[in-house]
Amino acid sequence: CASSPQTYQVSDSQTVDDWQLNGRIGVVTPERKFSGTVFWLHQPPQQRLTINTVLGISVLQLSADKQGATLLVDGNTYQDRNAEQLIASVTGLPLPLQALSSWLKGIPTPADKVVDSDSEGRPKTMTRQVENQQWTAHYRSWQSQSGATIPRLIEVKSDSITIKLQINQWLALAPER
Amino acid sequence: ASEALEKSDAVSNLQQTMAKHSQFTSQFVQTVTDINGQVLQQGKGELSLSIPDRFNWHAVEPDESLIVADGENIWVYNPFIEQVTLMSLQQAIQASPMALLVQESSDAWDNYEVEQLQACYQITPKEALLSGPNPSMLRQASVCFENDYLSSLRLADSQGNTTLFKLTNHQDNPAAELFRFTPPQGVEIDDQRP
Repeated sequence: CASSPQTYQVSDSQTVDDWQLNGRIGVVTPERKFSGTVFWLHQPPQQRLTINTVLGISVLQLSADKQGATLLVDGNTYQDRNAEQLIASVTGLPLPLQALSSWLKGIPTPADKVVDSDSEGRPKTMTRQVENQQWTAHYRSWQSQSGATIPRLIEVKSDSITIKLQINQWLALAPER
Repeated sequence: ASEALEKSDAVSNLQQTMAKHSQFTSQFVQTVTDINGQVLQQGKGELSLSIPDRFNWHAVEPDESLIVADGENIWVYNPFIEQVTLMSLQQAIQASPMALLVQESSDAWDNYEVEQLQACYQITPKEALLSGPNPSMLRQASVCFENDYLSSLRLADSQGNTTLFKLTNHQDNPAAELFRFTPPQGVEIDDQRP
């Protein structure tokens, strides 16, 4: 059985590169709406992202490392050097994983432009250019997880897609390196 | 273990056992693991069955989802994206194997091999369901009974996930409105019925 990595308490999420997230994801495009549960194990350079139906039936499984990415969807396996291109080409959904993994910490990076913040100085709306797409991240609610203040509900929009991410659990992991 | 019974005996034994408590409500704990045993998802809720053709699966933790089979159709309510998906009972067996358990008609069961191992039954889709345009994602379901109540439901899918529902606190005669569904105001209906 998978060895479960050591989790620990942190003061803020910025310095944490190794984390595990359990939550709910919703994707809305003009053609379709989808929602499922999401599990994301982020241990650079490796990551594993799975999306299931609420009953636990696997929808997609992505694993990526330095060599490239492997995606399992509808019983078929696909591979590509780049995880985001792989998901976009196979599922038609442009999931900005790189940006999302930073947005879900709720801390602006040089790539983000903070449009407005709340009374506690946390971002309410941020924008970022990802390749030729302009993305807007809306922070709807916050929570404390593993000792850090992180978002609970985020809505991320580009002109053709809205991604809703609710973080039910976020664990800071001790790096395995 | 006892010698696996001939399929039709197994199906009739399963249905006779289900008939002993043909209407009940139970609490469930759900755990989903991947092929490496990594826990992907955990949840709690309530599962009610009413044979024939009715069930209510209401997940409340960590967040809400609801599936209601009202005897004719299945409503999959997803508050997170304010959407209700509507399917026929036949269509729904793929998405929610509970839809098979509450069906008495043999034509639904004819698509599955059923093997009885003491108080448990393994339900495996036949080849026809595993191929074709949209093959069943479900590879195997197994149900077990304790004191004639459905005590566990395990689903294994074609991408290595295993979902285990443990059912407890069974009560007979669930309220009838559990098996009716009225879409909330402003929720979009995605009608997928043929």
